Amino acid sequence: MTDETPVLDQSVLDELRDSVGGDQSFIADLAATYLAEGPDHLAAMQAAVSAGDAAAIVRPAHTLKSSSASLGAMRLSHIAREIEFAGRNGETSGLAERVSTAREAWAQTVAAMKESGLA
Amino acid sequence: MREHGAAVDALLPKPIKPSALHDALATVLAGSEPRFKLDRAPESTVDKEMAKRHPLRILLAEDNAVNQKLAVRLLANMGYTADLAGDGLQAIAALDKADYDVVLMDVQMPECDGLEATRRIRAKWPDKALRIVAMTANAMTGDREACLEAGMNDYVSKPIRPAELAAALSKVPASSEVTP
Repeated sequence: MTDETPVLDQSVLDELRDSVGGDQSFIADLAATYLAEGPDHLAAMQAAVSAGDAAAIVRPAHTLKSSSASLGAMRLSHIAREIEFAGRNGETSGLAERVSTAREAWAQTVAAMKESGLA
Repeated sequence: MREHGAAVDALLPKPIKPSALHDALATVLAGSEPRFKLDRAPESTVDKEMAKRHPLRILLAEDNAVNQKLAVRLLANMGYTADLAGDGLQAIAALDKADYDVVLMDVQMPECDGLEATRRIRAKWPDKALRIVAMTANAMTGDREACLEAGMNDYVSKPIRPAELAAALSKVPASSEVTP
């Protein structure tokens, strides 16, 4: 199900462009902020997994979910959402795999943004 | 909520799945009341003079840098500038120092989340004429109810759409209408 979700949903990006009057430099600035912060959120998620601390994963997963959705990175947003909810429910089993899936989706997102000229 | 934008009967998340399409069609064909409204509009329809017509003192409480930048930009497109708070405690501190007409409050923030911040604000200033508008990407059932129960007045879904934001702001009494 997750794999059907587009890495970068152009319709979300189109809507974002519309909402800021097609200001490409603003979109690029937003993408730069996103790309600069993403690794920190992933690192925090990894640290939470290593510590076996499900509660600590909620916030970085939530932030990544939310900013990914704003920039159309829907696959990563969905994975981060699953991780956030697992964290809220205190589930630690399978969390390491999910975080590694998130890392893969992050790499795909960065590549797709570069391809789209966003990064 | 229905005076702004068109009313729609069902929302179909993309990518479209056959089961979701079936459910959406079933909802429409069953002739139930519209449950959602379509609040999308290109920027060209956003009123750039809205802040002049309807001045507001806005506090934006949002810890996510991407979404903070986006919200500031969308507000600027309507002529508004907002003061910023990075979490619920900062929002309360800001309200201690200045008067605002509306707080745009992210629901999940570190230190003190939007629900807790709202409860504290309502307890601290029970008579304050202040609207608190939740901003959240959480799609969990009961989320909206939780916001209203905590003392919020309205709800904007994230990613924020200009028309939805404008509709929420238009419901806030303008600064000039508020007696000090």
